[in-house]
Amino acid sequence: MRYTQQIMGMPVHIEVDEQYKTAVEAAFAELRRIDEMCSPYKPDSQVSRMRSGQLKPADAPKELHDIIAAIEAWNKKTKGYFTAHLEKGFDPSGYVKGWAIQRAADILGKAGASVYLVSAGGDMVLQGKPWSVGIRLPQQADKLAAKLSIQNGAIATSGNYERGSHITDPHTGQSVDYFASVSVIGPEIITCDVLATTLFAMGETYQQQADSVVPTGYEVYCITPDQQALYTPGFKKYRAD
Amino acid sequence: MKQVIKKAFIAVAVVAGIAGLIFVVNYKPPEVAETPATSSTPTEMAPPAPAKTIGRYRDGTYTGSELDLHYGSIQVSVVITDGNIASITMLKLPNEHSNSRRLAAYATPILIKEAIAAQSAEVDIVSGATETSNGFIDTLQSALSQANPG
Repeated sequence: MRYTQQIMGMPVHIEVDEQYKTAVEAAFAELRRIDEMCSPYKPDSQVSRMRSGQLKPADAPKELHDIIAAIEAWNKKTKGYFTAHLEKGFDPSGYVKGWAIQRAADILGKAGASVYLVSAGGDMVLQGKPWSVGIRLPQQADKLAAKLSIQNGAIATSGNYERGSHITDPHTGQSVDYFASVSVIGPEIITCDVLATTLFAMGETYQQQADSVVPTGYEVYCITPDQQALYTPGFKKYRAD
Repeated sequence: MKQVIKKAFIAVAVVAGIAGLIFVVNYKPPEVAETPATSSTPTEMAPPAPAKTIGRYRDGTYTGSELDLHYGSIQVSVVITDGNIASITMLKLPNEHSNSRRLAAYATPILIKEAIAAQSAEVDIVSGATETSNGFIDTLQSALSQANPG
């Protein structure tokens, strides 16, 4: 059974056997709770209150401190490419999405479900059977660039095609459009999500940097603006074209 | 401009890949190493390289020898255009079920290029940056403003 709700400004899909309906509701509730805590767009969220100075970091809940610590660790691992310290203020959204998906998946797993899917905004955890997953062709919303089969793993895709290419690299003044999208497949969603964002931002410097950033067991599939695919050799094992 | 950047990018990918191959080859008996897939070794005629260029090569398509590693074969083909590496194709890869962590460690981040054959096949679900939060874009912009690609 497929359940869908709009949370964190994006559709969230959970697919699992109907007998786990209670767990599905708990998973959605957890995602809404995380959104209430972390959304930079909700004025009452703890993140917004930290940004405005109403909430002192010392008074923030441990959970938020853990998120900040995790983001800092990723910031070091990615040489600054992944960060929550934005010009507009602290925004952990780039990390929270993958973390929230994992939390929701854990709720289903603890309830006893073995076959399930949790997807938020195109990033997902896939458990218990070979799920058929398409990677969207950035240039055409109704087309797929690749068809995969993923069992007991995760995939995350980053791109800027929904909002147009307006990201610029301050070093060159040029738009960051080296990749149209970057997908990362691997055992764990948070890493996939963070890496997809990071590698997208690295753009043309991918190869110099990827070696120290991409752990063994994670595969990358990039689509360029002129519709070439660039992928790591191990990506082939997921292909179901 | 985009093409130049891409070539430089792929050139780096190939150099990294070849470095990996040579490393693997070097721990095999010497006779296997006599034909490494390095027909694109930088020539001594190379002019001073621009900042993002690794080296210049002779134009053409070069197919490296098939290297018989004890856990499988590996072979690459390299296309050189205008002195730069335009593409690399892995013609043969070792068995994916091999337990060679060493090769896998090199192979993991290297990108292979191919044209996309777009398809509309039915799937359970689609992965794509279809509905990301505003924070995602902000994160990228901020990261780039801090990043030093070196």
